[in-house]
Amino acid sequence: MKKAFVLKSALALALATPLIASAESQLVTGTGTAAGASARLDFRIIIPGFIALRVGPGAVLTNNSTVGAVEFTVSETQVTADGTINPSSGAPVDVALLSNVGNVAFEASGADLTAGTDTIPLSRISATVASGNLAHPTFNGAPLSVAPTSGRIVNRSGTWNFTYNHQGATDPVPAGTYSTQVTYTASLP
Amino acid sequence: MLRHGLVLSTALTAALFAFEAQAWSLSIASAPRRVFLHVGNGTIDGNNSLVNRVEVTVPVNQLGNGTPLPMNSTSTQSSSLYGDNYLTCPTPASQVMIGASYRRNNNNSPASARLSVTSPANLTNASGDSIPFSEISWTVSAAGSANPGVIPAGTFNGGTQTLATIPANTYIENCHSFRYANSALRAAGTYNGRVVYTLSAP
Repeated sequence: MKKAFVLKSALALALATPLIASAESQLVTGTGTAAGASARLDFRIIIPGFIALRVGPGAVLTNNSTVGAVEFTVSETQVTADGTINPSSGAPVDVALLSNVGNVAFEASGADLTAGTDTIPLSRISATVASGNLAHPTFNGAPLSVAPTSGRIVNRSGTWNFTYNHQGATDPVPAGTYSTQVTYTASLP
Repeated sequence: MLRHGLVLSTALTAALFAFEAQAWSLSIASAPRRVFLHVGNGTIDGNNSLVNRVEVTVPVNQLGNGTPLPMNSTSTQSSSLYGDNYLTCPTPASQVMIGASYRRNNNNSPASARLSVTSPANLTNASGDSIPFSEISWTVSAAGSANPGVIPAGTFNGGTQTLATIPANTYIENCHSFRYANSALRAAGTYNGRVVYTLSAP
């Protein structure tokens, strides 16, 4: 009975609609079967844009509120002389910049180091790239344009080292613990 | 229903044999040569202008981590177009039904039709970035069937792939679930691409 039902339906189809061209279902008869019936299917992948930055503790794709600290301890023999002081702790600093939106504007901003009312200019701190391929922006300078490493992907990482230019002879400062906090920002230009 | 094989005769035994060999591969009546194909939503004997879409939004914290992500479909086609309204793909949001049939009168040629799919090399976005179509693969299923691979699982290759050979006077169908390999970090954007399935009997 089921077979007879199918035959009837097929016959009606052949008489009424010899060729039906549709989109995602299609019936083709006769010599048209050589080329065949076709049906389309669309695909879409949505990739969100992001910029991820790591300076010091944490992982680049994980929020972490821990602030790293680089310390310089000037010894008794160094305090009255001019000279470069290396960090006593907290360096080198692990850094990473990961994004998928093309060029990234990268900047570093911070106030002078202070101990009460006494100050040491932030410009006395110098940064160098100890390893990797992420440059350090100038403190309070124009944003550094970080180029993609592939297509519109930025995937840069490495370590930074810092030094303090102590001017104990030419520009001595009162004793104290001088500190500041630098904020690094990566954003769309 | 024949598909469920509740027969008590020789005819039923034959149907059971067919069920075990290639489900869902169903016999249909012969007719002057014709091929029918639907992918997702379709109409057995009519026009259907709806092109379904399969898509995924990658979570930021999973971008390019190598964990495949299932893709969702806009298809609502859960019931078979074979004629028995069988619930072949009960969850069309994750299953795109593909049904195909080839009919001819006895002793006419060819003996079978070929089902193939053609994909472009890449999905692309408005900025010119691309994702290879080979990042998309599919698994197959067919509710109630012990052998859902009548159209086998696979991965797009950016060209034309033969999927199945359909003997004359046979209707085949199963459900395709797609996933994105997510094997690399991609530039931001919405990537689109279209594949074309073809059933031909040259």
